[in-house]
Amino acid sequence: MGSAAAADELQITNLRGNSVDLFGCDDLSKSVWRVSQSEFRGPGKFRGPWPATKEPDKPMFLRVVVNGDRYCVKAYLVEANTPVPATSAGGECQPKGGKQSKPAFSRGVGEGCR
Amino acid sequence: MGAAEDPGTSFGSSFHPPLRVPSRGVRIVVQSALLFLVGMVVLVFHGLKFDLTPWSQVMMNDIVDRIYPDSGQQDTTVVLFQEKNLRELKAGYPVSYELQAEVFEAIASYGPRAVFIDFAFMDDRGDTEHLLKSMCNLYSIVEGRLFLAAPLDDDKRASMQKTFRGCARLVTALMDPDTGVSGVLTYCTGTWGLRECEEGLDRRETFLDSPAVAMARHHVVGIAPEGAERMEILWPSTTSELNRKWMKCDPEETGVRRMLTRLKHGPLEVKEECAYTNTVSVAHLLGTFDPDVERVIRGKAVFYGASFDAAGDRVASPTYHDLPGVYLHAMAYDNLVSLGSSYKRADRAAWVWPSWRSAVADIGLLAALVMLWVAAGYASWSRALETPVTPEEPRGSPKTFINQVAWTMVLLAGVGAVIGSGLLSEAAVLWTVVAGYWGYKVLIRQDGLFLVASALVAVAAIVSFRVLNLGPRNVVGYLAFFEMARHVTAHLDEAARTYVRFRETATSDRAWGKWARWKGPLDRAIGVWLRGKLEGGEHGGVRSAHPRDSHDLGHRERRLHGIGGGSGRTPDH
Repeated sequence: MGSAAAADELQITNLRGNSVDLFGCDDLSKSVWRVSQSEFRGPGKFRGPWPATKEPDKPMFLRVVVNGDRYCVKAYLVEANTPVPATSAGGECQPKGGKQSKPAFSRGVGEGCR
Repeated sequence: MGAAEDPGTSFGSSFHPPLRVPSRGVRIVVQSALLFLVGMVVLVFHGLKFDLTPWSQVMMNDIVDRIYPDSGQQDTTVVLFQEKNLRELKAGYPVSYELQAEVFEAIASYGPRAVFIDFAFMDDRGDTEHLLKSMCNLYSIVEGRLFLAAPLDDDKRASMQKTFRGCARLVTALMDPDTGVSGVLTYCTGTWGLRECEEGLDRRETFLDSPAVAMARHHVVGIAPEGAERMEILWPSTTSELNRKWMKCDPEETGVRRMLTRLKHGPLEVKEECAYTNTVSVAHLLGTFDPDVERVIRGKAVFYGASFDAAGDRVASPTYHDLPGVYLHAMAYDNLVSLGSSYKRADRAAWVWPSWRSAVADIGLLAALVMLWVAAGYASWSRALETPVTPEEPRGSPKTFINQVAWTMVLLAGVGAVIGSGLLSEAAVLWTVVAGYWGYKVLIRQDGLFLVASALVAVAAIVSFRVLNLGPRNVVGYLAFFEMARHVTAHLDEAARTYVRFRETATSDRAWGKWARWKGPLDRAIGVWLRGKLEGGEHGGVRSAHPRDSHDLGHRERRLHGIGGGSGRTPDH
């Protein structure tokens, strides 16, 4: 965290509601944890920001790393350091020039991917 | 020989047998009837206005672009489930209720003010519970302003009403067909039951608002409680800046290039690719928080619909290539927000009460133009009308003729330069051509009657703008008819005068052949097209009483003079 490389990584920076469910990525029907805003902002194990990657097979979800464990979270319920549309192509999308300089709308859905 | 006027103009001494043409009164009635009939056919029922409609629409679009407020655009958003979203979300068709529930939750998370859902959830697929829960949640977020498209089938509608009672209100998403070649779309403001859009006289069943009206009721003042008049939707042809960011839109072309494309392929071929209404896709909505999505949804009216190839729910607007049907509702709502209760009313058929006003305007204006032209051939006031714009010097002089030619060339060069500058929009090019023709007729040809006709039509258009919709199509159409009528009657008049001269000069029956014995009926059948007060005989044919027409100019020369005189050309014989 704090390095130039870390700044380029996709990160969950905020939760949109009062709380967000964390799912096991193998079974998205079951919520494993429910994380509140205070837990995300507090000093505990759910403290954000969370490193995230797109989940190619489940476009509506992002895979997040929370305290070393991997979970899945619904994308529209969180705020990332750069807006990420829900597309299956997004998993393979790498920012041009090493950094995604444009927001999602400027980029368009699927646009800007190699 | 002097003139022998009504009843039944007769010229004796130099004609054999005496020439008998219909009286002035009969000629006026027959000529007026013919022009009126032609006008009715080409203007009122079909024809000229029909052909001009798409061009008029191009002009109207240009006007709309300039005057249409953007308050509606700022309050309206389409959330679109695109065909490609199905692939991107690895979803099948039809979209599962589970996925729809996620969309509702995502919309709710951005806090809209009102939502219309252009999907009909008619089937019980077993996963209705999550859908219903998310819909009820959204219903509470929008404080009851959640509207759901009702199916056209009565039983299914009743079933939906039962399923979603308390969580959504049903509206009729019945769409009117577009109106003719103009592609102008009208919008039904509501229906009684699920029958076709009517004027609201049959009130036996429950009234259902259309989506736009339902969404606007709490937001726009002055909407009729039930059965408001149908709307003619105005479509600005500009593209939303938001859409331009992420949709593949056409590059902007110059007005002349677009006009050339229209001339080559048709006036309505040049259309925008990207919609006017702010749009986000489901992929944007279901992605992580996006400030652009927040900006266009929070506190706004959201229209959620689909763009699936299989659904076939498309509309072709005058300014855009075919769009998903949900845009029709969004644009109708936009019109209501932008124009309030003064939204543009749809033209009504002439036989539907109370559209007699429209018919009266059409027929009245037509009758006025016919009377203006026919009467101008007989009445002395037509000379007075010409006086303010007719130079004292005789028009037949070389100086006047060269003046006209020179100014015409200057005008053509000016119009060509303006059009060729590339600065004008295609509609502005059209306006320039129309203005150029008007300038030519009034300023160079000094055609007083054309000026009067223009003023007449313009006043009618301005006075009746709100009620009768006399737009550019009608203005140009009526003036084109006026010009056409003048040419037609001038040709008929010239033919009649040629006949009269033959009658005077070719006196032997041999020259007439088998027609010799038909001279009586021919006198009446052909003579009825003579225009103007008549004098005749002594190889002068039948002349107009107007002093300036005392010398024979013939039709070609008369056309140069603008107002058609009453004289004819001596036939070669």
